[in-house]
Amino acid sequence: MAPLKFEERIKEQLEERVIEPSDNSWDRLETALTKTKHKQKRLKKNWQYGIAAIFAGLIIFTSIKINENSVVDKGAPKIVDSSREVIENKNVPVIEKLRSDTLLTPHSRTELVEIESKKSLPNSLSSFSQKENISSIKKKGITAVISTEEQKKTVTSNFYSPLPIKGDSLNAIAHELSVVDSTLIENKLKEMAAQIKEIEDKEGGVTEEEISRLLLEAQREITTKKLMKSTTIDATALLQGVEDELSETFKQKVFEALKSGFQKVRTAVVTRNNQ
Amino acid sequence: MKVIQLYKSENQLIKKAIKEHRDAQRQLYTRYSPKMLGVCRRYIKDVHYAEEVMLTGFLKVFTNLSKFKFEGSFEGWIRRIMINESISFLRKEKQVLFTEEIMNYSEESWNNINVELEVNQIQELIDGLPVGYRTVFVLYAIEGYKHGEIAKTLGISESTSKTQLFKARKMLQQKLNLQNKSNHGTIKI
Repeated sequence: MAPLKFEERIKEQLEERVIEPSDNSWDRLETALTKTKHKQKRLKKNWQYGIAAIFAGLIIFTSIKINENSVVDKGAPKIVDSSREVIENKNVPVIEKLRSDTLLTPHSRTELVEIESKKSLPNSLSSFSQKENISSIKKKGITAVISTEEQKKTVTSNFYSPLPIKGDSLNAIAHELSVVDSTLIENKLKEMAAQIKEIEDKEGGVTEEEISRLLLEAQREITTKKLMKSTTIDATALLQGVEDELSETFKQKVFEALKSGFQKVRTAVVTRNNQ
Repeated sequence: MKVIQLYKSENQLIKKAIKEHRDAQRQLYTRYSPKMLGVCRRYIKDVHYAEEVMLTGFLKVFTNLSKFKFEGSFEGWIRRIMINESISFLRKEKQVLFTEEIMNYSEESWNNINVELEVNQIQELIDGLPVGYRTVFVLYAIEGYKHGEIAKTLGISESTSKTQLFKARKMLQQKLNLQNKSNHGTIKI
């Protein structure tokens, strides 16, 4: 008999071997299965609740964010880039490539005028001195290049008073506008004074109410003229105007209320005294 | 014909068990539990612990039944779960100790053992081995795992697996020799 491989034999024997489990083994397994099922269900529910909570949170967060944005949109004043609008104005001189640290002094202005005058000289004669002047201007940190001849004249004219320019050309333009405004106000004041004199002559005196009415009218006229003069509309100014009107009506309302109250009290006192 | 019917009915049972039909689960349990307890018993000396491990294994079988793809044999799939469960039990109990010693051994003398043993005697011999030796021996000799698979399953090197097997065989041979002496020549080497 050929020798059998020991391992193969024991393998066969062990493969065939069966051991009956205890009687209650299935019950134990069933209980464990039921418990696991409950656990899984609970876990599933927890997951569902978790997802629902996250979803609800997201909705709430989004709605809050949207509300915040809408409030900001309604309440926040709209910023108008007035500097650009003013620059686009054709009547105002355009100053190009003005560096932020540029300072235009009266001295520099005279140098610019010199450049202009020397331009009329023959090129051969003036080229050297022109170069020298230009280099001297550059050394002083002035890099303002004025685009046209007219603009140069505008800069060097009396209308443009010596003014320190810092940042950009906006300040210069604003100053110009303020000069125009001041003349307008002066004219209006003169007009008002004439009107007051006229009223005094006619009625022999002027009440405070009349003065305030005249002032109000003048103010309105100045504002309208300002608006008419400027080709652009400043949204902030408009908003301010509306707010002023609103506050005024409120003031009037308060005065009216006080007045009527006073009238009532006076009537009551008079009636009591009569009785 | 009967085999095909049995196969079909088994597949139906599995499908029902996936849907958590208790009867189907019970039928599958009744069909496979005796064999699987035998499998667990090869690794675990105490039959009660072996049964506990088998029940845990069946719990895993039923909770993960949807992962069974009906490709291989269902018995093989359950058996793998049982083996893994048994090994993790031994690991938990910290009973597995593997020594890293590479030895030269020959399979010739071992395979020439001609012995008549009952199943219980074989089990007793295997139980007498240290856990590390026993696990590798059962995996290699009974389950038919390769050293690479054993190394992967137990998290050891292939050489360790080989050493463990060599030592297990040597120990079994010594035990068989002792039995031979006491039984007066029932074992022929």
